[in-house]
Amino acid sequence: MSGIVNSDIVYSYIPVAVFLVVALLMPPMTMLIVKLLSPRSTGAEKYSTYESGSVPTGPARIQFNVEYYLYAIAFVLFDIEVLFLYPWAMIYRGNTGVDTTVAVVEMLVFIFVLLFGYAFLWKKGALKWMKN
Amino acid sequence: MVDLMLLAPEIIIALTGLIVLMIGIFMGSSSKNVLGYIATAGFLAALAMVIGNFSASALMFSDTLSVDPLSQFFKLVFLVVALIVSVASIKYTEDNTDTEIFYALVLFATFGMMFVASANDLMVLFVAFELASIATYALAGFEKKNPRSVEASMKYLLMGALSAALLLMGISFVYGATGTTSIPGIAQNMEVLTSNAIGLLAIVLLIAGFGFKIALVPFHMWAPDTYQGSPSVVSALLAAGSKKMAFVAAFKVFIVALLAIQADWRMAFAVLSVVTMTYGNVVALSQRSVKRMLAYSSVAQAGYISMAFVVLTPMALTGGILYTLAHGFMKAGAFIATAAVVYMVIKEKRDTEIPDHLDNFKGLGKKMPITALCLTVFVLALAGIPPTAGYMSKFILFSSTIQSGMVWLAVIAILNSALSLYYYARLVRYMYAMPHEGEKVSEPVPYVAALLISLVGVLAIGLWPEPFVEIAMQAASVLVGGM
Amino acid sequence: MIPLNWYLALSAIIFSIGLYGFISQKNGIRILMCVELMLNSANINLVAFSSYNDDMSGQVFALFSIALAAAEAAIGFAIMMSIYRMRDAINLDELNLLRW
Repeated sequence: MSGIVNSDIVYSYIPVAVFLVVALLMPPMTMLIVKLLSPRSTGAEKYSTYESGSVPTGPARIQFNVEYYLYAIAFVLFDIEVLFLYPWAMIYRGNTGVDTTVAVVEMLVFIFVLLFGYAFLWKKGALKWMKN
Repeated sequence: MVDLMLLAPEIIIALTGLIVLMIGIFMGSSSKNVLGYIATAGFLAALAMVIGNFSASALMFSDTLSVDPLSQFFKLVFLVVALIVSVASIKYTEDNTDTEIFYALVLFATFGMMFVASANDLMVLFVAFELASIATYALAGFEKKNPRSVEASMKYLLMGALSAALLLMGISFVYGATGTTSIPGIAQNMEVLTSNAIGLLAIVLLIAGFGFKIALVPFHMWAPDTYQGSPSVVSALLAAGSKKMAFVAAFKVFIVALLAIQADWRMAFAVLSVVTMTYGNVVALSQRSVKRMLAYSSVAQAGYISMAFVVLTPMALTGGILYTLAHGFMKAGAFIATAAVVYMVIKEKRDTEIPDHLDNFKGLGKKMPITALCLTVFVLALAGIPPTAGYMSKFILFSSTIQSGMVWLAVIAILNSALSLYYYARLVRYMYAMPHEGEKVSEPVPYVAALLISLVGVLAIGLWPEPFVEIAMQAASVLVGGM
Repeated sequence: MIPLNWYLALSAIIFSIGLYGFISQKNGIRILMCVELMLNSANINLVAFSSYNDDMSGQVFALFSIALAAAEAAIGFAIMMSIYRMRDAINLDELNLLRW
């Protein structure tokens, strides 16, 4: 392991180590200061759940509607597809010798196919929050 | 500019998939039966385009796709299987509200398989492999209300995901050692892998990854469950299509790209092939569910085809490649025949938990004569009885094995074929020698049409093998070109 | 620069954790998470090799595999949801209808 200790990599990580130490020390210190300085009140209201000012109703641990997961899945899929736009854009703007007309047509084909997925979701009613 | 005409089959399949999907969702729930005909027309058009350009040879899209006799041969296999499945599914999806999803998934799965066949780059190969896999996960669970179907789909998904992870890991090591993902490029830089343990690691991961999809024995455990639980038409697509896709991918990766370290993987395939065919046949002996029996027989057949990796002569590869086409016809036909029987069982409202139980095949020769006759031909072909496709391909494969001096392997394979005859013959005995219950059932036209297509294929390869052997030899010559 | 071996060791460790979890876990969601770990460890490999070989294709490959992993997860959750609707559980020990 001496190779690791002596290598330049360890030195290059010194800022990270400093940051880590500071990050570990800061929260306890601020919490301590707050505890020492702030005024405190002890009433029953203080320990009730805060729900934007209105009277809290029902338990916090409710089961989410299953539609929520459909939304999440659809979001993740479309989100990931946009990932491909990024390398495409890099090639498009850099002087990489790529024929830009071809690049545009290829990206349009990609988005066109994605549109079918969107239309499918829409018509199947997966984008309606509550199905009647 | 690339010659898009050579990609026409893929483009037709993709467009048909999108069109079927759109027509389906905009048409409402009425008369969705037309979708099956549209999909079938798409497959026929693509098939015509493949046959029309059969001897084409070209590299496209920065050499990531290669159209050559090998890719054309496997596209033919996939399109024929998909055509059979699509015709049979016209009956299966009748009055179903999700017909467009079914056909779109079949079309997209076929699209992925075809791209695997013409991939010339590991990136394209992996993406296409996953496209076909993901579409078939959903197809396996198509009967959302049937616990067996969903369970089959779940098991398939988990094993498929594991195989994808192993495959990607293996590919990453190959890429790391050779610095390229192009298949010919890897073959050129092979000296790095031969002198490095990373090559061995990559081979282990790749064999495991492909082994799951091919259903070689230590990695086969999902296959019987999935083939039994899925709708029969989907089992046909999985056994006859998806498995062949893994074979063409393995052919490309091992024989073209990793040929330099063949000493390592040939030994592994020798062991796997022997274990696979023996285990598959022995376990199939005791099965009472016909679909499960066919699944184990399909595991055993994968063992036979894997012999091509061990022998590795042009003739053995020809045999292995021809076997994939023959197995496509035989297995797709056999699963479609069980689909017809399951349809009969459901129609008669028999009280049974396993609709494809062997007892439901009793006296089928009288009840459903065409289905029984076709199924008899298919199982005899699977056992390797002349004059069928199974006999021809087994003959070429086994005789080339003997020629190259691996008599022990050929002996094990022939003993296994003899063993398999027992359970195939038992099915035939149930169909013809047992008394039947109930009346004669009118066989649905789509099933009969699909069965007849497979029957013609099985008998054509058996009786008139020259053209098929010829194209299989051309395909094999692409693989051995680098040797 | 961090040596290549460190990346390979990291990815090997993550891959092993994923494989161990895949074998030992009973809950379907957890198994899918383990598969994601394995896929991502392969991505680390690809990106590390890409950087050391000075070749972009490894990074592009990683992008593709991320997209595929998302699609696989989506279909996995959809299948698990239909199992959950049927039996109120996604414990894989209870998926035992299909056996020999």
